[in-house]
Amino acid sequence: MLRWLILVVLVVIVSASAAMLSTRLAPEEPAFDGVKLPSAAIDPNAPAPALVVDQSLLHDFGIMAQQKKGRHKWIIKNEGPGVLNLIGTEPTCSCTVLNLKRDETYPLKSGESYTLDVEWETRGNSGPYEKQARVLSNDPKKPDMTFIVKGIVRPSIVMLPPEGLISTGNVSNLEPKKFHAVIGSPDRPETKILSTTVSRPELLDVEVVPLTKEEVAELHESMTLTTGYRVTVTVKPTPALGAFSEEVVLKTDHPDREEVRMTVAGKVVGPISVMPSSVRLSEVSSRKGDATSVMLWVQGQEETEFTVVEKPDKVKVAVAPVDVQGKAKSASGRSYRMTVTVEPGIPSGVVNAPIVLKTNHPKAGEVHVPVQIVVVGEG
Amino acid sequence: MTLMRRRARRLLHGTLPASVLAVGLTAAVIVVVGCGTRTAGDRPSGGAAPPLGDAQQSADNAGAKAAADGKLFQDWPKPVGALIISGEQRGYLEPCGCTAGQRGGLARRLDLVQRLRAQDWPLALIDLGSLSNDPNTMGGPDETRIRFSTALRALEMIGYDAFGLSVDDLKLGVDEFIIRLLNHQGPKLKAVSANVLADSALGLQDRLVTAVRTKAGPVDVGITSVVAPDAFMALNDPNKAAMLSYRDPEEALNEVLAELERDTHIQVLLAQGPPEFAKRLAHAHKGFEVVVATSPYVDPPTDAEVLNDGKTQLITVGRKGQYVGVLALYQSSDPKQRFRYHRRELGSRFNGKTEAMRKLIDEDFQTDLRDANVLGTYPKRPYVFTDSPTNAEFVGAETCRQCHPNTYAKWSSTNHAKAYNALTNDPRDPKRNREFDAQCISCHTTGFEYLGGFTSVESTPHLKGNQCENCHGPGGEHVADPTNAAIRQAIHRDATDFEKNHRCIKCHSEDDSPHFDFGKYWPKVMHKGLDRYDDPKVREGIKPAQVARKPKP
Repeated sequence: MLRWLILVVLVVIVSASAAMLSTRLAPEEPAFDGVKLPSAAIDPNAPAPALVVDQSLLHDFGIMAQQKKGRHKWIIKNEGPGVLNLIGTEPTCSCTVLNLKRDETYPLKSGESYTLDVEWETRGNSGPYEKQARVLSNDPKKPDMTFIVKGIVRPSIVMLPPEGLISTGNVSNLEPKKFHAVIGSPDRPETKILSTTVSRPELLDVEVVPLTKEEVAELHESMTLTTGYRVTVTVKPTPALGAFSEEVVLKTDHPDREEVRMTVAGKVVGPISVMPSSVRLSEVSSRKGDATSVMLWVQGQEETEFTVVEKPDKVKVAVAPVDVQGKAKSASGRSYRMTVTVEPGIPSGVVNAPIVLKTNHPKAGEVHVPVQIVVVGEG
Repeated sequence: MTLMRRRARRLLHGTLPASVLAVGLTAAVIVVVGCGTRTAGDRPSGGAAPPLGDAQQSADNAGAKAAADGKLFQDWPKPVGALIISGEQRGYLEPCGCTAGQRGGLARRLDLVQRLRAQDWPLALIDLGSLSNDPNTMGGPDETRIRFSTALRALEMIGYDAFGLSVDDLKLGVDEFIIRLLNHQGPKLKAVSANVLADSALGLQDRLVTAVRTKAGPVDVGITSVVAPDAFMALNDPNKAAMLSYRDPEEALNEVLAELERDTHIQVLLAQGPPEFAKRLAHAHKGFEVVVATSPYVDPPTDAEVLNDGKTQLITVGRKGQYVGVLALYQSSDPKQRFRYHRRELGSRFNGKTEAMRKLIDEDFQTDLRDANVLGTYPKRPYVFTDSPTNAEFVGAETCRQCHPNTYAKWSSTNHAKAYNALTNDPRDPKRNREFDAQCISCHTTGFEYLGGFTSVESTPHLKGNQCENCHGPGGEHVADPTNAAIRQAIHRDATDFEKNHRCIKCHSEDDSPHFDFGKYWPKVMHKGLDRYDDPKVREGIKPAQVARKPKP
């Protein structure tokens, strides 16, 4: 009897141990983002590995130039008794390359180590730079490790705004507006601006002057400039409303960047905003017609009179003040609705003709609204 | 008595031998132990998550495991609700870039949401804002505005409750932003801002609100947003002062948070400003359990940053819509056990059925671009020659061919020559047609950004593809006076010039040409010394009538 009891106890112990191990080492291979994690189910009694990286997972490379490559190594150790399987994944950017490729598995026995070699390219990036690379493993405590390289990519010529894109936003057609940019070279402070050319001199004035010491001191530390230039672009008053996109081309004596093109883009607006900026109707039935409306927002005048002086044929235009919850006007402006009605019987085809409104506004005597209507069917 | 009968009598009378008892007892114990032990993936349903130490947190972040049947977060306890957090989409309706290895896109985001809904996860969907790119990039101002309207429709389709108002979106033009928000047809989606308010006469009261209240299952969620003062002041727009008013974010949040705390369980703050602005607000207004910050990088951190002794989750979701944050909610009095966060990459596994979204982007959006004639309204500029001030016109590769036949032949063999066809004959998807998309056209045609460059297939068919003049500049002056040394110098190009002045990466950007390597690509297009110029005719020049630019009637 005693022997049987001892046998029972032993069997219970072995059974329970097997059951507990089977929960840690699941028999099926779970899928994770399309990558199958390694499974130790081949031998459910196998001990667990332990992934150890003594270094920081974040490598700060400081400052690098554009079109350069960097490299860093991490040592991954297995300090557990079991076999550690490492699996590579696809980095977040093709500019980051690991020696452990996607879906490639590398086994590490107990005590062994693996050198993870990460190479990155700065390419045409500029400013703060951070890329990540993940390595998966069968260490149940660390199944996913993210290695990060970060720093600042500093081009031969740095500009503020970045990439030299001066987005002016909406600018008034009545007053000049200045915008400033900064340009300089961190690795060659003596770089000179040799010439300046503007795509549309009638719209833009450009002035380039050296930065003062105070201005240099105010620049963000990431620009790492000790000298440079302030480029002041003035958008002049113009009767031509609408979007614009112009170039300012700077010639420098920097051996690595002899030409720099800045873009100056925005929209010239007047005291009367047309929202949306054009009338568009498509698939209008020639037999039935259609209607739509746009909002006119008027600043600088309490009551504005609108007279339709030009419109497409077979189209009616009416302008009336809008009463929004009893508030047709505010201190800032007043809204009007322009209703455009396409009359039944309009011939099929495309209507491409503006609506022109004359106003009694002292600063916006005329409003042009582009119209595009596509009429289908028989008239 | 037989052996069997003797055993049967023992069973009936309870006098079983010890061996039989032992085996039976062992079998019973084995059954009990085996069935009682949980397998991996079994968890109590609902209820609180077990305490999360660092190891477990790491495991969670990695192992939001998906079963082979496509279920997400298989090893997580089912939450009582979840927040789906996105932001800084910056115009990327589709996965960023036009080649392989892309992440993000609204179709994939919808697929993720659909899968979670199929798993009966109650969701609240929140976007930080910055739906738009700079209007002077990615196709120009008109296209950017249409992208914004399409993004609103997409968010409505996915079921978003709110998106934060941002300066990035106001850069469309304050007037444009307002009218597009007013014209948005959808019952649910609202723009939210506690400290940027619209003039009452504009009629935005139902569309731009100071806070949104919604539910994720039994959890009442309150959402608000603020814009940082520096960002708002830097916005240049004559309509800003007329149409909007600005409040100090601290003052605004004190009021809004107090209101939300009265009738919601969880309060979410969307902070439109630098990351340090979000962190400062999180510390100052501890009532917000979730604070969403902007990100300086495309790839966000894998974990949420936990602040205020575990009470606040500070979340960033990166840029370009490549990731979303999934914040699962659990019932627990311990704040450290109420949330479980996962950064979800929107990779190719989320290419499930999202027909309505694909129609919106592949058909409706493209139709809107065509109808709005974004190619025709794109703001063009004169091409600037710095060495020789000219206003040359674009003449097309067929004209260049007349004097440079071998160079033309080399060019014809390259992908540059086939660039336009890639817009209308995408082997990956026959439905994709991007010939009205200015963002694509700018790199797949010649001279698009410049006066006299490509405008449309109908009016400028001779400028399809990436031709000579995209690299050399417009050739009108040169073809008229080919022996003029100054003009030839102005259009001369070499590898050094291209590499140093970053000419190629304007189109071969990291997004659209992730494998670009100047050293490997340059030999494919380089064409030095292929032609001889012995024929005196090449020195005569080409008269305007001979320029192959006019389309055939």
